[in-house]
Amino acid sequence: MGYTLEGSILEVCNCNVLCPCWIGEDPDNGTCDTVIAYHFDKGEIDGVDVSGHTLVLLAFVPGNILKGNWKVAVYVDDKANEAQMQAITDVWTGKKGGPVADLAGLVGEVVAVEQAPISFKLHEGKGSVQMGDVLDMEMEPYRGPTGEVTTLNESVFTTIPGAPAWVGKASKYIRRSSKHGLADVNLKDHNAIQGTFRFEHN
Amino acid sequence: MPYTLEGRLLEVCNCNIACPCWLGEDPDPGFCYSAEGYRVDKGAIDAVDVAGLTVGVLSDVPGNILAGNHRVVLVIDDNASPEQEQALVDLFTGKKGGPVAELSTLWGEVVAIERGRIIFEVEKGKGHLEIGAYVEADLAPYLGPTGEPTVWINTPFTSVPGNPAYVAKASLYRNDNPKLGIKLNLKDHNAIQGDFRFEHN
Repeated sequence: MGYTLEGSILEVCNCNVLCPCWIGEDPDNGTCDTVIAYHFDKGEIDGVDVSGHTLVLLAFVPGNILKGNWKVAVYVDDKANEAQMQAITDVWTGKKGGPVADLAGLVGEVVAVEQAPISFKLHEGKGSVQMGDVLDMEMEPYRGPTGEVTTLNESVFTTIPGAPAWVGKASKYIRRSSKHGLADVNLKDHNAIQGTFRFEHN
Repeated sequence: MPYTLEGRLLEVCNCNIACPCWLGEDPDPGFCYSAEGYRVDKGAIDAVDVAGLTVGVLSDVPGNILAGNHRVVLVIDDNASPEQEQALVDLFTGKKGGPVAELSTLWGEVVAIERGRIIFEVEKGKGHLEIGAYVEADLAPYLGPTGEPTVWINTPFTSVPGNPAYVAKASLYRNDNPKLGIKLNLKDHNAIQGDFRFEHN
């Protein structure tokens, strides 16, 4: 019952820039319509290699992120085979325990589990994530006076203390999710943050 | 007319946590009533040593911070000698040129320049600030899972690339300034502490 997963996380939402959830505060609008994508640069779940695959959560968060009761549609990229799909969704529904099960405890309702083509092209806060006809997102990071990307370090939810999260803005955030009972979103210049993650459980 | 100044900058305001102005975005309520302290840890203006002194900048910012038109009350540390006071006033009103003069171009009106008692006891986003009778604030940083303070690095306006800005919350922010028409008594709003380095030859 073990897993080791590391890679990049992208969070885009309808908060203003610098989503307060990253430091445990309430979302700017009181509630949050978010997309959280985990791309596994390297990963293994009970002997199943999931490197290169991506999991996407479309979520409605009804209040403070830590209070839970999220309504979620779960997507895995369509290149994942049956064993990989099963392994990834087992981890994210909490069946494999460990740190991801703690995250899964925040979910109140899973409205869909599906596969779709996913493109995850992000580097240090710059790039795009697309998913079929459901998601179309682009982000650009903030930069300091010397051109270095603005980062947030040691935020409360980081799973890799010391690693930066790249603070950006989504020039495009399109989410077509009303078929799941999750609001459609079409926004420009709202919050986008890219970070890194490492989840391990033995 | 050169200067080199290094020290700590603290900003407390009525924005929610993590003031968007630090990224060049509009303040959360659309306007911003902020209090800033610039504590000089090391530095001189021309040949006048101003180390250990603090300047308070109290602002009424009507919109995006970069759109200017701030109304400002400038408070000079009452520990300053007349010579030091003049040097700091000249610096902050733009007479010495350089990066601090660029800051002061955002000011539409300097409503008052005064001496006052300033307490600046802030380290790594934690501590206490008082500026004259106007402002009092207590703040503490957010912490990561290992207890390290949450920081921003390389924000657009930093004058010290690579140095951290501590993302904090003011458990108290009182700002009572009839000259700017400000009366606030807030709990759990934005406070950010960074470093500054201003140099001009």
